[in-house]
Amino acid sequence: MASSSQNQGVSEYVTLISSDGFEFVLLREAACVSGAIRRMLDPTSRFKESTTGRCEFAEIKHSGIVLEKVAEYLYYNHKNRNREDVPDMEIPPELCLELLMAADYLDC
Amino acid sequence: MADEPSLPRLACDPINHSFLSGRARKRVRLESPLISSDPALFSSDDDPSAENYTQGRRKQTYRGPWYSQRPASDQDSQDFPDNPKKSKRTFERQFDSGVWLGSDGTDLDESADGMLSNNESWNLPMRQSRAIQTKDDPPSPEVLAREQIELCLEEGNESIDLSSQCLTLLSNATIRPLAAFSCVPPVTEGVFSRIEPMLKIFLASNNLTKLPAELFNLNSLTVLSLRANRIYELPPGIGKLRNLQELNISQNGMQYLPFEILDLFSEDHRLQTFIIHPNNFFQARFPEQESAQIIQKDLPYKIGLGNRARPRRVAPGRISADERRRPFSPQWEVSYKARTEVRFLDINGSHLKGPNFSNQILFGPQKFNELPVAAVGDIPTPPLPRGNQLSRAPSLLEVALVACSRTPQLPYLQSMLPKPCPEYFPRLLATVAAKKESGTTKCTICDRDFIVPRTEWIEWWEIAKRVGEKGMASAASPLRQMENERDVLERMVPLMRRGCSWLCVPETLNIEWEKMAVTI
Repeated sequence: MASSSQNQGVSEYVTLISSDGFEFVLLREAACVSGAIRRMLDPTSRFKESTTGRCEFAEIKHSGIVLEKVAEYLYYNHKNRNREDVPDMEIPPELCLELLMAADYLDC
Repeated sequence: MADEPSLPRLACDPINHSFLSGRARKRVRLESPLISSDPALFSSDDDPSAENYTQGRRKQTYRGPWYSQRPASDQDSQDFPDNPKKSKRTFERQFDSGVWLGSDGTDLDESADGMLSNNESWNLPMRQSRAIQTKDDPPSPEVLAREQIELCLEEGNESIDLSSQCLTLLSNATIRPLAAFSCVPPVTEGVFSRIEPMLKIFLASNNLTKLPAELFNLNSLTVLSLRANRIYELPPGIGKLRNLQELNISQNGMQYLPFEILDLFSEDHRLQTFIIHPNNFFQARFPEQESAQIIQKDLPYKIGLGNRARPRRVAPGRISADERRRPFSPQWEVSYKARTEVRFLDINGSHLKGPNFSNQILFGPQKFNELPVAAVGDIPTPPLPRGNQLSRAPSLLEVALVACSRTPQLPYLQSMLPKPCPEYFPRLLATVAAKKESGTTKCTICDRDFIVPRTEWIEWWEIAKRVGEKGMASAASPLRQMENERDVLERMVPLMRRGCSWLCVPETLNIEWEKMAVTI
């Protein structure tokens, strides 16, 4: 998939950084499943993130664990984007409320 | 309890003290001191109200013979001289366990003594108060229903009549025992034969708004009457009732039925009687140029007749894929007629695009629930996707909600929500809880469980009982048009279809989707 970011010579990967310092390197295309991340990385938005490719999430609580699950979800979504029968993704019940909040924040 | 006043042993010199103090009960105790039929309740607290726990607690003090003891608060509270140390223990409020499990360092004797010495009005309660409670409050309708179900189970009575009982709620726990229903086997020629039960459940004329999921797990259910309730939406589980012969859902204010109800008309189901009117069903409003072909376009019954005259008007050149997929029972004539445009919903269930037919219409100004029918060549186009392309993968919100529905803490999640949280969260969690109660919803396209639907549309299906060749012919004959005006209209049943992703839309359009893959 020829994304506009590639055309402009921006890296194919982006980094998501949690408030407690964990970094997750993801395919840009996968990360853009999230509406919020996509807006952050949009080259026309002129956000700092769009040039550095590093997105920090200070707002998400316990963000290391949550962001790990978010990253897992983004890849799950990316991997299954063309499938007809998408398998279920399991998330631990103790994280469900945090992920609910994260889903709202990340718009995905 | 080391610093509690140690009471005299039971056997301790009873003669010295008068037993005539109007406490005759105690005397009985003396004969069998340790075995008491009184409720197992004891607290060493003078007064169990919460204010007493804010500061250092006052110990209970005793004076005089044990059987005339009352908590110190009853008397003027002078300290017991043998009890100089106070408030050493860190306090934990343990009404029961402190005594009966001896976890406070007491032994059984001590606790028995303590119990006797306690204030009677505080001591006696539990068991009695429960008995009083059931006497005073009339049992709730559901308790009565439960008793009746138990009675039917015991007697092997297949007909469970719960009609006109002011039921507002029917929980899964009430219905669940019925799954184990078995008949009293008849003896024929000295041999017990096992017969399949034919359960009949009558819930007519109640105030039910929801139905429990367990109701749809009753495989042996043959008759189900939900007439005159307030059920606005029938759970999709209804399609699972394989042996259902009679279904009555009239007078409920329903605007549509679940798409899964078509399962009842398939070959392996046994439905004979299907009573759905009157209800508040959505009616199809055909576009002007098409209805112009019908001479008297204002007569609503023409909708049905027009369709029969030109059966392929709505979906030209093909029959709906669903018609091909499921073999319907020969007793029923079931065919797809029309659909509305597709309504697209956001991940949180808010309306994004397309017609809006939510339950609010029910209370709105619209007198007749007419919905415009989609044009023949209508291609539902979803709003722009969040990512680079449309996909069938569920949203993270959906994944999290599914996880919520699996936790046993579901009822408490709402109170555990962090503050502030988006205002739609409580609504979503309520949806999750409701789905747990009345059964899951499946995508009618890809059969996947979902919590938040992403697409919705209503299809009108013509459902009619085949009365043999003669009957069908007469219904279609022009001579009897006026007579059957209502029949024809009422055959058009609106069915709600829901999809789990923006790709789950009416099936004719699969080819177009490949072009839709947008790159951003």
